[in-house]
Amino acid sequence: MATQPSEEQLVRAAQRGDVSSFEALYRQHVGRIHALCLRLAGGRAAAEDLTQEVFVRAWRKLGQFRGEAAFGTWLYRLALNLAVSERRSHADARHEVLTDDPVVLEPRPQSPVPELGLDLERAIAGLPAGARQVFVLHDVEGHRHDEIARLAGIAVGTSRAHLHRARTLLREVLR
Amino acid sequence: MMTCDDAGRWLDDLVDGDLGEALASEVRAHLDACAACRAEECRRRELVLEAASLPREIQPSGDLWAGIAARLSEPVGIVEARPVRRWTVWSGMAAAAVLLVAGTALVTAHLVRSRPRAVTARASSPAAIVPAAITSELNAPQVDLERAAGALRAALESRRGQLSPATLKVVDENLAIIDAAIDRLQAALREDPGNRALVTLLTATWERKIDLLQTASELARTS
Repeated sequence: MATQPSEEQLVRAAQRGDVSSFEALYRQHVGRIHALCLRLAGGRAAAEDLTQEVFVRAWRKLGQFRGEAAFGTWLYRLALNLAVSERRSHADARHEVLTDDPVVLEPRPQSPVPELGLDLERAIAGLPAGARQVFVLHDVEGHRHDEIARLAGIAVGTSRAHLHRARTLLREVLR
Repeated sequence: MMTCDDAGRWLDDLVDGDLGEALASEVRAHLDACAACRAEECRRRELVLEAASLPREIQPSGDLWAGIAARLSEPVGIVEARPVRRWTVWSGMAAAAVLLVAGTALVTAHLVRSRPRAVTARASSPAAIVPAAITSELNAPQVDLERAAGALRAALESRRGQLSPATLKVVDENLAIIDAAIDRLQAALREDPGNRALVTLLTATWERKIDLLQTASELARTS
């Protein structure tokens, strides 16, 4: 009976241009990446676009993966950076105040996540974008405020304020 | 004695364990005396627990692979060994690199103009790519990228004879353009070392250089 190739073997084959190995890597990791993208994007269509973009970029950058971390960790970091930078560029385009005034009302997402049955997931999807991003990164993904601040290009105090606002809004919605 | 408003301001930090002991004691003292704030603390702890226990994986509603696979043939990073496409590849890269420099120059000028300039020591050593003020945060990735680019450049130099003169010309021109962009960004960062947007641009430019070198090396290898 043929043994399944290890993740390391799949990565090496994909680095040589083997698309089927990359597809196997996609199948292994898409759930984790999509969960992150879905919660950060706040809507299914945007999340699916983002998930696709993560894997396309991963393919292009595979040559830079040197196996110092697990492939899943490398992919997660790539997804995280991409999701946050997308959010920043959208915020810039809408002239949102990202850095110093978390109390400013940001537009609510147009479409919540219809396939998520959990109340909390729905409530998270309905948060303003800045508060949602910090809540997801801090409370769901477990990142510290200093990491979030560095990643999102905001002050640590702003990250804390976003989290406070997110929790307060969620408490109201879930009451 | 702390008020409810004061306590409410610190509840999240208390729940997250981010409060210093003295302040935490003050907040706890208020919670001991205030049932409403105690209930609020309890609800916040429940919310944090619930958020942390959400599923780590969610499958997309449809299979995204077809859309991804359709884009993998875009020749960036991993090059398809199809000679008919090479000129397209290099033309696209040349255009992208020109845009990169033009865009970088504009964005750099804008970013430097739009932020107050910090007083900094100028980095005189070539090794000091990143200003000292942000060295601890940025040095590792930038140095890694520079090292990777250096190794790829050496690999490409050893295979130059395998590329046609026309291809070599395009590669060298593009590398020069990207190097010029890197020089400009490093100069701008020395002027404004806290400018994270410049750091992001610099990292992206290094990555573009690495992509180009990888592509060129792969082309040389398969030629």
